Amino acid sequence: MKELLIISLLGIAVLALDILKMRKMVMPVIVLGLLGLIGVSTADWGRNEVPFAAYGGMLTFDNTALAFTIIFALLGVFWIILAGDYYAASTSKRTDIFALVLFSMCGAVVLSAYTNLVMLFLGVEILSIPVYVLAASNRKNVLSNESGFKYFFLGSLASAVLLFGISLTYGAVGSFDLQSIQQHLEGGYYSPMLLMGTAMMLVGFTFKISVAPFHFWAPDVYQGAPTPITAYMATIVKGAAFAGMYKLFGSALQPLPTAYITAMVLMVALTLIVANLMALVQTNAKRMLAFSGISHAGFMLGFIIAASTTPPVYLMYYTLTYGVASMVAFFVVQQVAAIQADDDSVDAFKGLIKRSPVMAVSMTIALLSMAGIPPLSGFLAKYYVITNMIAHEHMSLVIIMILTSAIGAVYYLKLIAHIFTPIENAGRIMISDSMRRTFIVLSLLTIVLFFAASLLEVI
Amino acid sequence: MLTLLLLAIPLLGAGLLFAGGAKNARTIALATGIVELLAVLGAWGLSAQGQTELLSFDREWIGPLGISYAFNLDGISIVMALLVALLLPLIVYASFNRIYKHPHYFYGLMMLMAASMMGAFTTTDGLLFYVFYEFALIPIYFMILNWSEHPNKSAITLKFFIYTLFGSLFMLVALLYLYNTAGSFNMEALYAAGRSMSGTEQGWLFAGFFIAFAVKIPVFPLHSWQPSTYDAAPTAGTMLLAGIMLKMATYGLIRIVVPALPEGVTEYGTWALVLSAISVLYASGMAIAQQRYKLLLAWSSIAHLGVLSAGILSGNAQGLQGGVMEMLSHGILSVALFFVYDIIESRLNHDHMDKMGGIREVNPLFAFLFFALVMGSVALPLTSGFVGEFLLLLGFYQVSPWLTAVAGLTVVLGAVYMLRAFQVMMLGSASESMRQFAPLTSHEKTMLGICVALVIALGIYPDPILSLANPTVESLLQGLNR
Repeated sequence: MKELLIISLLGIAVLALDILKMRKMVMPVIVLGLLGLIGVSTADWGRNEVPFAAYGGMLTFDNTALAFTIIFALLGVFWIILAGDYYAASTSKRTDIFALVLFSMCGAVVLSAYTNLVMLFLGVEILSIPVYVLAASNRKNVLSNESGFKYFFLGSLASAVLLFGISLTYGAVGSFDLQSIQQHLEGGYYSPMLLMGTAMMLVGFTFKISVAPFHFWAPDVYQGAPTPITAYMATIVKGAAFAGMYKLFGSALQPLPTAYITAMVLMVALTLIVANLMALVQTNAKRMLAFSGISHAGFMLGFIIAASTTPPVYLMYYTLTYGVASMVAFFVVQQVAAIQADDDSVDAFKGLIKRSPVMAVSMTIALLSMAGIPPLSGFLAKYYVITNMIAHEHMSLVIIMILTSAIGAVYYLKLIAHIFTPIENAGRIMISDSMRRTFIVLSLLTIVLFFAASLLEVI
Repeated sequence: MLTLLLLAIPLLGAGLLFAGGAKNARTIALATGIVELLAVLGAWGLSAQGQTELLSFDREWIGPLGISYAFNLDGISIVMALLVALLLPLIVYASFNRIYKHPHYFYGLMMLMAASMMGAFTTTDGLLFYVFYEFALIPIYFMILNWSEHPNKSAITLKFFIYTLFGSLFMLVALLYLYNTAGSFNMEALYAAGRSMSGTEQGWLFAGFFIAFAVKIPVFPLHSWQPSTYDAAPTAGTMLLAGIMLKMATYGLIRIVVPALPEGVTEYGTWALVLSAISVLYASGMAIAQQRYKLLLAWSSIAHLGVLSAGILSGNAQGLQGGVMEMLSHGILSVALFFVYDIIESRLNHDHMDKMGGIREVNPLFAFLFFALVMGSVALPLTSGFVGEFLLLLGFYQVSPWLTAVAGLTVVLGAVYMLRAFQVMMLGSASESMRQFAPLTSHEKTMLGICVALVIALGIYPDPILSLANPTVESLLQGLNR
């Protein structure tokens, strides 16, 4: 419970600091607050705290929830430091945006700790509503407005479908509680109403995690939103949606009906093929990363397919490694675009190695990690998915994963080749010290996570 | 612990180079290479005295998944380590001829590559082998991308990277499938798992591994990345590719495929032998048709490696022994022959053979040294090439005399294109422009001299290498009816 309190109070504190004209304090307070959140979560480790148990105990802070919270807080720290340069320090816009992000992160914590479908819905909404605003936060930009609108309309539709699914499930089981649902399913029998309800929840979630065929919003929304917001959506929002989905489909609804497994296998196959082929033809770096993000969501969905035998730690590992790499990728895109009149096409990356060696090398490491080249953590993340797919005998899916990984390497490498293409009279891109250090830390993390993968076994 | 040292030395060298800046870069690189060579020789000495506990290392990496940081220097691994450690200083020394921009990055990447190849040759963990095998791609990719002068280098490097990555992903699947039965990536466990499988399963797994290795070796029809990549790469990069990197694939055949999938190789692997034989014929034909010396070498490399892959896949002691010997010999010869390219290119700024001629008249010493290398390349007795190819063909003969007859043409056809190249480039009378051909510098003489000496020494007295590899070959084949 302390975790949830810390993050919501932090959001309110940020707004208060703005009113009190202490805007310089905002960044340090948030960073310290999030680090405090990590500390508290570590202290609560293994206690399985159930706050307000007398009122039904709708949340449980077990190790899985705490680990996800730590991952989100860690990514949040990096995000705040990197986004700090984007929003001018003196404006109240920055505090508004940071506060909205913190409120949205509340939803992420709820989604990783809920044990009740009501809390699930609340979590999804708390997570999403601030992001609708954030996506449109570049008010004078048409694309940003489009992005916000699209995300809002389609997102609320998905929420409605999810809510409908929850109510049908309630009708079938008679309870919102995950444990009661699990007991109800003990015989493995899904009544038609329950089947309908869970199917709608599946659709709602697959929209949020943006896998095909429910991915259409993602490229437009990612491209139009201000780049730091895109980075936030691609890392924490997606991770939280997966945390929520794993809890429901990976544990409470187990054993899943075979039809669901088949449906998800098809979704993964479709996602990987569509996203990678689409990414291949993009000339806009942000849009390309959006499609690459969709393909990664396809990989991550593999963990839910194999959830009956896969502990959540592998999903966490994927969330963390993909989050770290995307954080670098999106913010490098933002910096590169910012200096050349918001040109975020692939060509803008030409000669980056001369213009900013730190960003060029960090970007290269991030892209190679996303492509799944060892010894970078992205390789192990994909490796875990593929081993699980082999163990569950989805060999055709494994083949698709392999083929599309090779396609994926093409567009990542094309961008890398641009970065290393020499150009005439390249001006240097100056970035702040804090940003440079964060890029270096994130790049090192990408490598260290590979060699220290066994550390994650503690969960 | 010594095995870790073999990894640490080049890594340390890379760190020094990246941090140290351009000054003295090549000296540091050469020193790293020589220290590495001494370390490998030390390992050889220890192994000869039977002190094997220093030569292996095993620590858990991801325990629940059965992946460990496991290394072991047995006979074959020592020969392969020797290949890396011998060629690394030679390649660095050969590069003294050229001024590379940002030399510290260039040599740093070279050291990273040496470390990853050393890792692949010494590890006893299947997944770690894959990791090293893949990682070697990254430094060479950047070496070609940043130091190539080819106008089309972006497209060529992309093709090279994707082709190899795509191939090795098949190996990953096959490895994972083996692991799924074995429960561990330890080589011995993988062997046991592979041997317990049915023939068809082994056949499929063999296909997975062979596709991966065939891309890197390369074997027809998966070779199309190779000539353009060799052509585009800076000479040191080509030497690394041809001399060491592709040996990871043939080493993989020896270390994983032959012992783990015996039935897959003998019952379902005939197509791979046929492809290897076609590869020999096709690449020899292409080599004969080339006008440019570097491309001729690229194609000749495919031809020689076809014999190598066929000989290893025959899966008997002669084949494996010949494979080990030929890998070492081909490595030295590739570096030396590409160095000849470098000498010519640095003087003439081209490598069109028909525009040369008469170099012997101007520079008899160069022609003599080149001739010795050509003899090694066409596998004349008393050169290292002969020992390797003879054993390979001997092994291959026991499996398929007919295909051996085809693959054996490599010796005849090799003589055709190598001798023709020698004749066109070196003999005849020198034209006016060829008279300007500058004499060899002492650096070039030393480099070529060392290579020629190694080729002849290994040809006359191959026994130390063969007897070093022999116990490991026997243990790999133990329990198989060969």
